[in-house]
Amino acid sequence: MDILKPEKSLWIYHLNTGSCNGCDIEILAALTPKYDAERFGVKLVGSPRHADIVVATGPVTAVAKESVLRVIDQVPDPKAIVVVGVCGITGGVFRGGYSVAGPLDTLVPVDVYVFGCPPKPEGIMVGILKAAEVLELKRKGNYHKEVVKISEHGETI
Amino acid sequence: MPFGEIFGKLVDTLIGGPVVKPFPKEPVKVPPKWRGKPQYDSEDCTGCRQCERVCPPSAITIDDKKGDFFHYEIDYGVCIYCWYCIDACPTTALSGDDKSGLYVDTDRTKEKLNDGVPYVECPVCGSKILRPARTLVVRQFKKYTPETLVRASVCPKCRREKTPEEIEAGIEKYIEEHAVPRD
Ligand code: SF4
Ligand code: SF4
Ligand code: SF4
Repeated sequence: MDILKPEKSLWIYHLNTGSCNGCDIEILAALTPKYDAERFGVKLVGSPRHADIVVATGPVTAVAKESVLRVIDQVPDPKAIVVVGVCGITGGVFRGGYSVAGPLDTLVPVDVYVFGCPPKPEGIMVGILKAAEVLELKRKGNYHKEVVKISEHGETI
Repeated sequence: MPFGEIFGKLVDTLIGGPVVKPFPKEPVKVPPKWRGKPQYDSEDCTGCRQCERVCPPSAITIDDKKGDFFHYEIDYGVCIYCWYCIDACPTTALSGDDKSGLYVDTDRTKEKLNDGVPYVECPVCGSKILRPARTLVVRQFKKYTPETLVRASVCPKCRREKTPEEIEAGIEKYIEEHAVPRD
């Protein structure tokens, strides 16, 4: 695999949209010294307004949906969204549940999918680095993915 | 932490080097008994649908109503890699990928397995039955060749209602007509 050298540090915001916490633990594992995603400049930030990349887990529950959309709207453009875990991708084990309003890619355009329940920390790292590639392309303005959707709050995201 | 333990850790670090895994310079090493993607071998599927029944998130969808084909699909965006399907499969049609562990994509619709089992003709009466699984053919005839496949494809109705001589005659006729290579 090519090691990407992003121009700037990637600041990621970790968004839990109602997951079982399995994937959140793995994201933290990816940041611990054993896997050490900080080697690539990846830094976990506490506010969506500081973030470049949103790392989302969970199937988007009905209660969380409003807040999730608001948080994603607050991330400055250009941004990349990574979904970690199959329950964020399709609903996984929660698919079709009464309280599931997702998956996330029916609400906002998602750039990278990391498969697994939960994925390996290395997989999450690869996902974040792929998102960094997408972000570079978006910054240069030549990233074409037909999905430009309008959020419920009326903004282009 | 007592002093001895701290000292031990220090020595470990000095001798053993850093603990950071050298990924992505070196490929990922998955632990033993790692569960990756389930793989499907249509030649060995009996169509019993046990895998569909046990799959917790219903990642496996089987459609046997669509024409002359037993459609089999695993959606890896739903699969939780639990390998229940592999435990449930009575043959070796399902096996697991225990070597690789990273599945990352920018397009989720590509992460699907689409396969299926064709229907074959019963050599005696010509009705359509699901192609017999390799394991069952081998159990009956000790080998898996075009001829034994034809011999195993006799439909349950013919097995029940026809005499062995009639079945044998039908199989011989079918092999002659379709020029099936003999053993
Ligand atoms: S993908 Fe699996 S491990 Fe990850 S949050 Fe969903 S249910 Fe939990
Ligand atoms: S591994 Fe588990 S979730 Fe995946 S297809 Fe098999 S039974 Fe279903
Ligand atoms: S893959 Fe195995 S369990 Fe599933 S239908 Fe085929 S034989 Fe049955």
